[in-house]
Amino acid sequence: MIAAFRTELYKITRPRLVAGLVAVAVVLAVGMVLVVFLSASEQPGAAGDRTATRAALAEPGGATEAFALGVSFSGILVFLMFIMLFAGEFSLGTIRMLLMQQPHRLSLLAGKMAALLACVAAFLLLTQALVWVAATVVAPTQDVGRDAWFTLEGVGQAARNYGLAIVVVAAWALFGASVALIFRSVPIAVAVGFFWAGPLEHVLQDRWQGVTGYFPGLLLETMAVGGTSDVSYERGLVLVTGYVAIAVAVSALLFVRRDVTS
Amino acid sequence: MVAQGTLQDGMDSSASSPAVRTEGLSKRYGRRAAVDGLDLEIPAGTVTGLIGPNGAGKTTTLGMLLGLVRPSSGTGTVLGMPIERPARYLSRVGALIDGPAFYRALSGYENLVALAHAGNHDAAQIPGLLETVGLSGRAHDAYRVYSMGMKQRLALAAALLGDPALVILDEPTNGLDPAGAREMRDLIGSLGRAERTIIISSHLLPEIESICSWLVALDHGRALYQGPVNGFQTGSSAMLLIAPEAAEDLPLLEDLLLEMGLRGHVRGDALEAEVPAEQARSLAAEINRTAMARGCVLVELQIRRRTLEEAYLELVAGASG
Repeated sequence: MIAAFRTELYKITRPRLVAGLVAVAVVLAVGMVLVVFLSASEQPGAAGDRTATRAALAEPGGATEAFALGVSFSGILVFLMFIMLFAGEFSLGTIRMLLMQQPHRLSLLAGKMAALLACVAAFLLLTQALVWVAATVVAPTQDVGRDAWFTLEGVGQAARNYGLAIVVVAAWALFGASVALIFRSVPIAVAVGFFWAGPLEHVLQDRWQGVTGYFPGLLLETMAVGGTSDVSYERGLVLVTGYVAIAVAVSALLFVRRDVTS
Repeated sequence: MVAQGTLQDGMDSSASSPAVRTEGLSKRYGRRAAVDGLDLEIPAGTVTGLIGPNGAGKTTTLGMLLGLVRPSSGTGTVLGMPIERPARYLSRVGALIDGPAFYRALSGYENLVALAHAGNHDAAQIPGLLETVGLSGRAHDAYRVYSMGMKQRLALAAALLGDPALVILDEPTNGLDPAGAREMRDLIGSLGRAERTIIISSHLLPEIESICSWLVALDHGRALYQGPVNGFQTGSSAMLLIAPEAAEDLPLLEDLLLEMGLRGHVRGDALEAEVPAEQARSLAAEINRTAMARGCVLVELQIRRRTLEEAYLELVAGASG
């Protein structure tokens, strides 16, 4: 597992790639902060409107509010990214090169997943830190107070937002890897994953509101905002953990049992 | 029935146990058998050619040896370890199978470092390997800009990571132009050493003929022959090509061959006659002497043994007939 971890880490910590990821984090952080702070209003909007008020932004969690609002979007991005990274190994044929060096298939899988999740965790941490910095710069221009951000409660709120993001994004990542390992083709896996997590769940949600509490994609959306009055965070966590366990078990079993002929 | 050569003919005397042995190895996809009860024994220290037409089962067989394909039945060993436990021997095996496959965004060097990490190999050997395969000058270019020849050479370098005791190369000259193919053959030929076994699968028989000492011929997932390349080629007959200085002497030569119990066929300005392989040299000498005595000067007298291709086609025809 350590060998596979080192291999993946070597690939994703190349200076050019790291520079690119840092640039993406800067753009995302600044963009999210500008959108949230420039659209902030004095009064709360209608029910369902997630536009922040200036008063809410001045609260302890205000510095990382932009980060928290971007978690669902990040989850979908990571989902598609993991599909491409895992299915791409089959499409490129690199999986057989890796398996000839590391024949313990589960170790290979676990090492690769651990390295990629570590990279995602680091990316999220960097993005959150950049969001904090950008928010600190932008807040005075929008008459948003910053005093509460630098309290113990402010730091705790930031840590909670980061924890929420990690759980949601890791679940999306594991779903993405599972879809990739089941279909072993980038276009097919992306099409199936995108169709399921995008149109299918939302169309069914429009028709039967009750599915929000059962479908994995919708549950993760709920978890990304810390739960709703209809579906609690805890319920989402339990169900999603079950779904992830099933998806990982099925895909890992297939990966271990199936011939690699690509 | 499998034609067998003698093990000692083609193997290094220092090698004792076979590098690869299979018993009744089979792989079925539904009702179709890609490999069908294959009994194989490849001596250690040989450069072995695995030949057969497309679909003969070469790549599937290699896939099973490399742990990529699960056998439907049968057993086997690689470097003395059971093929059911590839992790026990793959650290001593290097392979290129189904063409080169690397990360497009990484350079050749970076690809090798990634694979070295995966296999727990020392990355310090990589510059030397790149030198061996002639890629030093382009090692830091992105893999996506490599030509097919460079990709194949990089795959060969990857197969040599960790100085393996067994190197398996599946169609290593696929997609290469004639000059590139020759370069690759020379390179592979230079890799052989007493304690290293090389298995090359190909449907290009001249390629195998030029670099291999041991041969396994497959068809429809079964071994038709395994043994020394020479034994396979020699067969039972050879061809004599006899060209007189003057074309009008051809009838005289034809009569001479008939007297010796041989039938000559005119081919341009020469005669061709099929003779028993083991008598080819003595018959050639006899023809030369007799023709000279009768005033017929020969400008060409050649013993042509069957090429690997001819021998293989004859074997396949015999097996299907």
